[in-house]
Amino acid sequence: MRLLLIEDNRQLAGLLCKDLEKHGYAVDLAENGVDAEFMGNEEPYDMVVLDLGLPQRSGLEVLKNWRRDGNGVPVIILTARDTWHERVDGFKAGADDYLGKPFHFQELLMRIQALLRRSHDMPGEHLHSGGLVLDEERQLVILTNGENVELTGTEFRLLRYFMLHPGSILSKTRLTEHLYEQEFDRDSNLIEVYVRRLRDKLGKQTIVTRRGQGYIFAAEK
Amino acid sequence: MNSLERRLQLGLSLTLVALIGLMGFIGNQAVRSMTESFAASRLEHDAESLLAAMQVDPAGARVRWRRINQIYSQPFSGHYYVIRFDDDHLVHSRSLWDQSIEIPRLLSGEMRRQLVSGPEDQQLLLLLFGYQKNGRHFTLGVAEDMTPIYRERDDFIRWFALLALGGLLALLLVQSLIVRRSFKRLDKVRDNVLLLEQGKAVELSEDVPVEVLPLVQEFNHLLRLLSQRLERSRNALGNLAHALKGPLNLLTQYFDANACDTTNAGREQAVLQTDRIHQLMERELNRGRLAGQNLSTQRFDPANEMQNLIAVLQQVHRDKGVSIQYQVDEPFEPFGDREDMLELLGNLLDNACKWAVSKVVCRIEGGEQTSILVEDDGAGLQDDDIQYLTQRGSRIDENVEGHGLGLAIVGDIVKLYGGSISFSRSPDLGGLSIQIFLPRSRGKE
Repeated sequence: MRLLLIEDNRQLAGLLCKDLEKHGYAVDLAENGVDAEFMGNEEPYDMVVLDLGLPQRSGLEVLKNWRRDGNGVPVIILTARDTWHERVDGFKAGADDYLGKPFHFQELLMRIQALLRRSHDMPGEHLHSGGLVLDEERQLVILTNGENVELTGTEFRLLRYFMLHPGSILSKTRLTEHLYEQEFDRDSNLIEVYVRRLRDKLGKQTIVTRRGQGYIFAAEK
Repeated sequence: MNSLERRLQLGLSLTLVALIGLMGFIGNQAVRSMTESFAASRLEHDAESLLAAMQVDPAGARVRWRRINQIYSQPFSGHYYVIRFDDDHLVHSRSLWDQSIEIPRLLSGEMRRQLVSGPEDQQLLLLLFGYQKNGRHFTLGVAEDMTPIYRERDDFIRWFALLALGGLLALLLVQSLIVRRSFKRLDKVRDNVLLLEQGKAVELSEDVPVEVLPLVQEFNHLLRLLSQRLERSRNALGNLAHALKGPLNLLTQYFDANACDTTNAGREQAVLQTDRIHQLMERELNRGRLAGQNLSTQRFDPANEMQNLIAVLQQVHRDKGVSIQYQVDEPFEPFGDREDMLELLGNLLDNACKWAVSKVVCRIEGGEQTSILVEDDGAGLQDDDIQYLTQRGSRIDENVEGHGLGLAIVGDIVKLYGGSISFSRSPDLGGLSIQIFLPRSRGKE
């Protein structure tokens, strides 16, 4: 999952980046409104965490502009300005969730996970998809027979993306775009390696290869 | 009497009535004296010609007439003369027929004018002259019947009075219209103030009569000043919140990251105090942001806002799946400061959602006072707590567990708006029911 964090407090941004990456998110950071708006339009983010008090362009304006231009990326507003009228204004601008500062990281994490599931029409406590259940807390997957399978960081990221897009053809480029942050070397064949590893752990049929197109998770048989 | 309009109307009317009255009185007098003088001067001429026509026999009391106006010969023609000689010998005109007019004896050269009643109820103007002719002293009385002249004069006076009265009424009407029209222009100011109160205008229109323009300008100036000051202080508080919450947030992150470190005994205390600082800060900053019944800020219009507020609340309490029903009785005139009211309703509903099992009901009614009712189907407060809260009046503090911080700001807002808050058990839902009344008009506080 690729996530855009928009936060002008470097110290907090640094902490958040580290914590989010620990939980399997590829995080890009924007420190002002103008950069943030540009990045949100240019890169295919799965989620945006937006601070409202930004230099150059306010967070609310950035959000309004995105929505005006048809950019429907899920947005969580994370701000010190959390009176009710500000929440209502945030909602009107197109925010999907609102979290006031100061907050506990665990809370933010839960909100991000819930919003991700919701934006893929998968409500519920855990991510259920293709007969598998993903435990995002412990980064392991529970098979149909109830067996727990541990995952490495990258395996977890990849499987989560597959599970959120069941039945879709996912190209290697798209997977790379959504699993790694901006600076990552996109030419690598790492995806192939990790798909193979997931197949080893979950069974060959879990992920099907479409030659020249990409991979499908939980393909209809 | 404090109405300028009525005072002006009354003053102008009184002056007008006095003026027309005086005019009527003087006119009346003038006409009266004019008619009499006119008749008198004619009589004087008559007396002179009578005197000229008289041939007085110095020995006897006989008068012979050379030539005399026919009118003195027709019986009761209205023109008469009487001559009284020194020896009380009387000579009448033929017109007097068998009647007579009593006249006194005058010295020669003397002249007198009086009104007497004559034959056939005639009112006579009698002019008396004392003369001496051919060595004989006598008094000549010439009289004319004034009745027809009086009748005409009275007719004239009556018409004049009628005309004056009609004119007076017309003038009063016109003047009242002018005054009312002039004051109509002030109605615009009143309408403007109303619009302002309803939040439909930002300031008063300066297209007003010059007499009130300085007032309106000063008012607008104060309004702008107030609105700027409020905006500045709200911005400042927002910035302060932003600035304070940054470090506070970092502290929270720091404590979270070191959650496993149980070796440090002070850590728990530090976490507790950080929370406390956060709560106190929130409370004071929120209180500072309140605008109250302010003319210069945006009004709260439930038709526009409630849907969004409910959506936000449903987002916040999504996992719980609480259904929030709200009802606004139409038409609801926008009321109060938008931010204040959203804070009030947001906190009330948020609190209700926290305690509800599955349902929250909110009803907003306008009218003389704004009524807000929020009920939930949760466990509600203990009767003791309800009594405690009711006894303390509108004051709610953090002591009532769970109904803490959110309701504290609710209490602040209610107090600022001069309203009342009461707690009870909801008869329909069984949970807590909070009823708030906020007076609409600042005049009635």
